[in-house]
Amino acid sequence: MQNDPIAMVLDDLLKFDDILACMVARQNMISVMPSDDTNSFKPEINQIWDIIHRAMNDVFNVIREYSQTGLAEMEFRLQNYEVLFYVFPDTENALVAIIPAFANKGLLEVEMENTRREILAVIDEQGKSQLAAV
Amino acid sequence: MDEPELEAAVGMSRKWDARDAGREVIGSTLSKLNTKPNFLLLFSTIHYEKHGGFGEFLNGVWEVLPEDTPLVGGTVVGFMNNYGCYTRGATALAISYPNMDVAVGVGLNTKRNPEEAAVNCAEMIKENLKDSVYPNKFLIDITSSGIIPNIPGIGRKKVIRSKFGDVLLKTLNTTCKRLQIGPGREDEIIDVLSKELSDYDIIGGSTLDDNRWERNFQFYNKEVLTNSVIALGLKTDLKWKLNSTFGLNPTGIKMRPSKTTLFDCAIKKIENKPAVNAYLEKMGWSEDFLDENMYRRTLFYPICYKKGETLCPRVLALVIKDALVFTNKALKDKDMELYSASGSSLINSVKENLDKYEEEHLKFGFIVSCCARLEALGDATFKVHEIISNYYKNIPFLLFFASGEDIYKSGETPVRLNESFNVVNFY
Repeated sequence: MQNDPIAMVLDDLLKFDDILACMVARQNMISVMPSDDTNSFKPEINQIWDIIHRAMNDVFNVIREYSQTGLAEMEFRLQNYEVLFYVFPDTENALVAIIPAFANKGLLEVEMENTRREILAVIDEQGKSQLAAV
Repeated sequence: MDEPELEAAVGMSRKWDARDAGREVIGSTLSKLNTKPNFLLLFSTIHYEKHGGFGEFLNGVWEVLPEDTPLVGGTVVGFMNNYGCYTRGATALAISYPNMDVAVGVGLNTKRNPEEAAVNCAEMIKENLKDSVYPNKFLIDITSSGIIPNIPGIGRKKVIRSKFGDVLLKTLNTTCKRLQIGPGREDEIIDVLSKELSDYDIIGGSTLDDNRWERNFQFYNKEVLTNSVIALGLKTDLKWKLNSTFGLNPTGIKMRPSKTTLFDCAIKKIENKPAVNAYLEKMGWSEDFLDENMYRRTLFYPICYKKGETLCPRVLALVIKDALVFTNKALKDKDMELYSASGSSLINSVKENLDKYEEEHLKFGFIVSCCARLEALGDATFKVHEIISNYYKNIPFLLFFASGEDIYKSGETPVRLNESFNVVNFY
């Protein structure tokens, strides 16, 4: 994970005080976490992670069903937390972030969108490299 | 005869380390100029406070920026430029133009004595531009915004319905003057600036953090300041057009504040009834609408009054016992009206604003937009960026999200605005 460029993009997002956890995930699978695995969730998430993780998997059912038809974003609030899903177009994968329920969400949404765009650029670049290697 | 050449450049850094970011934002700006800039506007988000500090940020800036370049700026909620839309990072706009004289002014202790701060700032501008022969006068002002107090046992809550609320309001009057915690008093500053510099056109706004209203900083050449007003005065042969739009629609719901306090920023009574109850009644809202997420609802329902012909929206910031607290003045015994906004009305107001400008001969654009619009639109702010980018194309522009905006057109009434979108285009 240390040199994964997508993990490094997530590292940047996790530096925000109000991003308590972030990842690239799909149903039943976290594909990429921030690069420092041991500290990639802020400690307060640990106590609620199990229930949030289960709820996330249910949301991924919806994402899987509708991402091909233009579903771009989803979110839910659970206890004192909100979970934001920014779907990668036409895939079952999403950038996921957990934030406090009373965070200034508008500001965080701007950087979520920048992160989604940066990850898409990385994927695009990786695709080109793979094509070039063939 | 050849027209004198104007160079405008916008730069940016997304680095986390304060010193690196300072170096990069200036390096990327100056790399697009062939000559030394006449001035530099510099804005950053609050994040560098924890990643080296703003002293280090400016150290990085001055490692690259030519000595004696006039520099003004401060911390902002977010910004847009030709590269994109961001709520983390730093950006700068530099102008190089032979037919322009520049002066920088500063006034300290804005919350304690806004009038004195504004007079001191204006005097510096007048003194340093008195020998300039250029006919057109323009000013950019950057002011420290209000600070929400951290109350022992309560913290920084937005809704405080406790019976101690009245005491708290009275205490805020005192803390504002003594500790400079409380309203930013920017209405008073723009009133004085426009009186002292009545033949200038003015655009400006307030510095803030990441919308927590806990702290903010102003940049004045090599200094990092708090509780100050900074101004950049220009005398030039350039021309400009200045225009404001809102995207707000009147609802017909009117209210007349009958008792105010806290420098008129808090309404204690509306039509002689406790303000919060009267407000909820008029809105048709129940008490439980007043929670810590209240701000996200009231963004779409600013209360407005008219000053001259200009709408002055006010976004509800806090509820303290029976009082509605705003970041700027809500005038006593003056009719106010509830307006409504939607995502699409806010976005359309950007197009409405830019449609009023001619694109020919445009040199650069500077935009001040309210942070409430950013918080309200969230990632739909990228739609705003798309509209602005399509308008400016390769012409440099910089937008900063302020916590309240100042507009003054010479000879007209100065206004302190919330939730507005203000463009000045230079030709």
